Amino acid sequence: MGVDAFLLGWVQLVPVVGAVALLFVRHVGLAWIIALGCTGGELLLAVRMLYRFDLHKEGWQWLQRLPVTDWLIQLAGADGITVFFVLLTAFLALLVVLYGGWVRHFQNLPRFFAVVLACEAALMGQFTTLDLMWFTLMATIHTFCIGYLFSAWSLSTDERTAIARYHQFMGTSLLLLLAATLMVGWNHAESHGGVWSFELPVLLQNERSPYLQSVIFYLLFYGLAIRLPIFPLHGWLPQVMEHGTVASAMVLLLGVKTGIYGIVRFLLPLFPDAVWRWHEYVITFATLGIFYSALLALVQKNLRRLLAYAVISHTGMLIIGLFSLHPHAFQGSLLLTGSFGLAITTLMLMAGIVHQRTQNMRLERLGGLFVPLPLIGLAFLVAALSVVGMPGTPGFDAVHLLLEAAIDRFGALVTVLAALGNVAAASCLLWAFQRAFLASPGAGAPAVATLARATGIETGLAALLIAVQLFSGFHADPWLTLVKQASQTLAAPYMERGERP
Amino acid sequence: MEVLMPWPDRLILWIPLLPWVAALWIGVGMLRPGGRGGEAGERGTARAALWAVGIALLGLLWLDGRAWWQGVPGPLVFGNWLASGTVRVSLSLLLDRPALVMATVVALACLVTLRFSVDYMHREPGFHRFFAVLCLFAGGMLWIALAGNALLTFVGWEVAGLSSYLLISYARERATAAENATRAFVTNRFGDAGLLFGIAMAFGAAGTIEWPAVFEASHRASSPPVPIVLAGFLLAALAKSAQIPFFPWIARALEGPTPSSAIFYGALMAHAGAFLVIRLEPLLWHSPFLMGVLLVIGLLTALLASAIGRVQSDVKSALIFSTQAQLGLIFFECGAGLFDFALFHLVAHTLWRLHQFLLAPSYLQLGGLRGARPVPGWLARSRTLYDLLLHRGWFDALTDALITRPTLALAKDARIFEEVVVNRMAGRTLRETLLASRAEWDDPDALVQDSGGIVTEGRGLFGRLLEGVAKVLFWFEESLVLNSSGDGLLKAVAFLGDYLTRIEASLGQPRYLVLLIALTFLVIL
Repeated sequence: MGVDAFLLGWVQLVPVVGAVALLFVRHVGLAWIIALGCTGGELLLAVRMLYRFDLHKEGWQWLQRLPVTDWLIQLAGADGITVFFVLLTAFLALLVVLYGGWVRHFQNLPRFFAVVLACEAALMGQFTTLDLMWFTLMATIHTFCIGYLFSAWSLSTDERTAIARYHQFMGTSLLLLLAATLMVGWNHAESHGGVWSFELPVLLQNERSPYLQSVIFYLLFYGLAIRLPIFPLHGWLPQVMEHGTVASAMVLLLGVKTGIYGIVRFLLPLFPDAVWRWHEYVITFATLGIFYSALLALVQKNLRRLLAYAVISHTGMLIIGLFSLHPHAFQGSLLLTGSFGLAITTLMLMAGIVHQRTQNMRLERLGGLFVPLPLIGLAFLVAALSVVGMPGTPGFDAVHLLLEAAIDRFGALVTVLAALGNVAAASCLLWAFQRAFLASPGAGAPAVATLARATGIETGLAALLIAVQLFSGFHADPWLTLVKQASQTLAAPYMERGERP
Repeated sequence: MEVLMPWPDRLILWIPLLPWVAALWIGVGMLRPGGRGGEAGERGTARAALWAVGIALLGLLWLDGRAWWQGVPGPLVFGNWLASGTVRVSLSLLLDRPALVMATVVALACLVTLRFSVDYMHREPGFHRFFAVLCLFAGGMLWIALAGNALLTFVGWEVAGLSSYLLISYARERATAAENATRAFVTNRFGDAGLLFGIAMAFGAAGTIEWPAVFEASHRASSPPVPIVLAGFLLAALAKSAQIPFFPWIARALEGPTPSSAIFYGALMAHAGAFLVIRLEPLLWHSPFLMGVLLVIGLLTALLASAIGRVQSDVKSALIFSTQAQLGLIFFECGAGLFDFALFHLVAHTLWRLHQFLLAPSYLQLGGLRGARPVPGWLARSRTLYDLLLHRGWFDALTDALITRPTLALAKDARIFEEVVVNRMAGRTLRETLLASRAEWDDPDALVQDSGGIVTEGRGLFGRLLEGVAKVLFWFEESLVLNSSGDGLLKAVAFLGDYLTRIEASLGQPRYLVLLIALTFLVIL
């Protein structure tokens, strides 16, 4: 019981300790032990959280409150959504460590592990906190860690613009986030005799005028939307994905999930009136975004850039789910976030393995890769199918729930559009699969026979990812139950607004 | 509002007006056909300017004496200037202690500079222009010092800014001079916007913009609150006195002739901001927070400027950064609440710096060929710091990156949009646009020839629309229906994708991100 009481603290603390220790380690073997120990331990902690979590209890579990200063309070608490995200993060962080160290053999491995662990710590901080200021602080740390990872281990030569874009967009996002945070705290101070607070349970009690709600809603929403990214604020992602390393892209995609988490944790409960007032606009842009980026994905020549547009297109889908403001849609969106994180990570990893052999990502110079790399291709295909929502992958249940809720909330038009957008994204990913793995190699492509076969590690990684996706696909029920309670709490303020005419 | 006052008092209004009369006189003289110009007219021009400013100085000295014996006259109202609805602006002067001190120093400094310029500018082609602008400036500064309400202060403020612009670009045939003048002027406009904002807020808070009433109103709780009113004015003061972050314009402003540099940036105009802060003393006491801000900004500017001054390699730049450091100290003093001391500092610094600047051209003669003092050891050892100071804190580069370049890029995009989308929709060809914008009226026949005659081509939005619909239908039948291998659809995707890629290139630019955010807030606020 001793561990459980402080479980959320351990989840945040373990990677910090690991990261700090790694800063002083020069020996690669020792670095491996620390990195694997920390990420593995983290995964164990997350699994323990999953088993100790009481599915039927309302409210926050494992609540803990540690004031760091007057205005910065380490307030942690978990509901089903927290557990879900923590588990996902722990699993993906372990993958990054394995991939970066074993498959890609990055330079200066101890430092690389340290940054990955720091990222993990910042992510865990964001996923477990109930304090908006802490969330913003952790988001800042995370952004800078990624920025460092990105500039120190980048492969491409013209990555400088991409790095600059990343910092410009993220800087804007952080500024908006900070502005929103300060306005929320200030609003609390106005009505409570000058005492500032950023704690979610306290903030939920506050009254806000509709005007102020709108302003903070947009500040917070744009701050999160840039990092998600939602069309038309997505400009940085394609450039960053094209030029960054695979490993940084993976950590990046986890960061993307914090955007979803921020919306679910803070935006939707804190500003119900503003959300209700503006949600149709958000849906409109999300729907537009699905098609816009699916179309762009279809004409991309670079595989990584194509994946970036697939991400943006699917973020549109997630946003439609979240802003349907319906318990089923919340469940569906959250599940989709997870399945989608897994799938995109798989796609990026497989693309990386391909890149290591062909040294290029241009689709017209790939082809026929299924022969030397069958399992890699299969993992790519499974991930693509999961994105599309094929039965047997976790995406299926998620998309199904989401569309059901959308038809309940908005009627046929939006739902049909969303489904069509899904088809468009399916076509771009499957077409990419066809061109890269099945079609006969184009001019300038390396001869298939000369390519190295997959190593044991790579095969194992691909097999693991296929297994996890298929398993959670055929057995999605536990995940849905996990987030059910939280989804209903989340949807409560919107349910009495009734059906639309 | 009409207040009866003895006739000598009515003459007081002429003190700030006299230099403008002189400026007008010189200007008309220059424009008159066969008018004054060249060496022959120099004497008349110089006399007009010197007499005007000299009489103003005498008048001020008389006022000072009166204030000494009888106490300061306080506000004087000469009549209504503008009235519209509840807005009433009177023609008024506020003759309190800081105003009289500042005005006397202004008149004295201007007189000295004018006299100096008579010899310095001798046989310069722009002699008359220079004197006219300098008189304009003297009047503007006197209005800043003596104005009884915020709007009159603004008038003086603008005239001083404008004359500064005109003198920085004194050598108008040089591209750098023009660029620097524009840069200084635009930076100053930020402050002017702040001043206008402050005036509007003051009107909201006090119902009038007469300074005494505004100060009075600050004692009661007002809406908008005092800090908001102050914020606008302080922005103006910071911009005019070239404090952080409006740091870089003043070094560019040295482009003009030395006497103008002396009086504008060394002595008077840069101090206008500090004077405004001193003028706002009664308001400032109500906002300890903003005083703290002034304190910090002043201190930072003083530190940075004095460090930058140490690495400069020419006299004028070294002097200007030293000026900025002193200005920073004056702001610091205001922030600390030492307003009287700040006023004293201002006067002393004005006079000393004027002397230094006017002497600057003859330093070589005075000091022989002695080299400048080397930079201190701690500075010479740190390469990064030295580099930072040499680039003047990278403030210019930062402004370029954050404001200038995105704005220019947006303007370019707008032009492309205009040419590619709007003109085509309006049915105008690129050639016609160019003709219209360059006003090549001399050959109108070419235009008619070019556009007439073709009946089958759709022109304008609707013409094109009809033509387009026909084409699309034709294309649909041709490539999708008749030629239905699926290849056509693929081409359509590629075609559309091509357009989207162009849009995408814009969305990848941060300026569009900021634009989108700004637009959203414009809509919801």
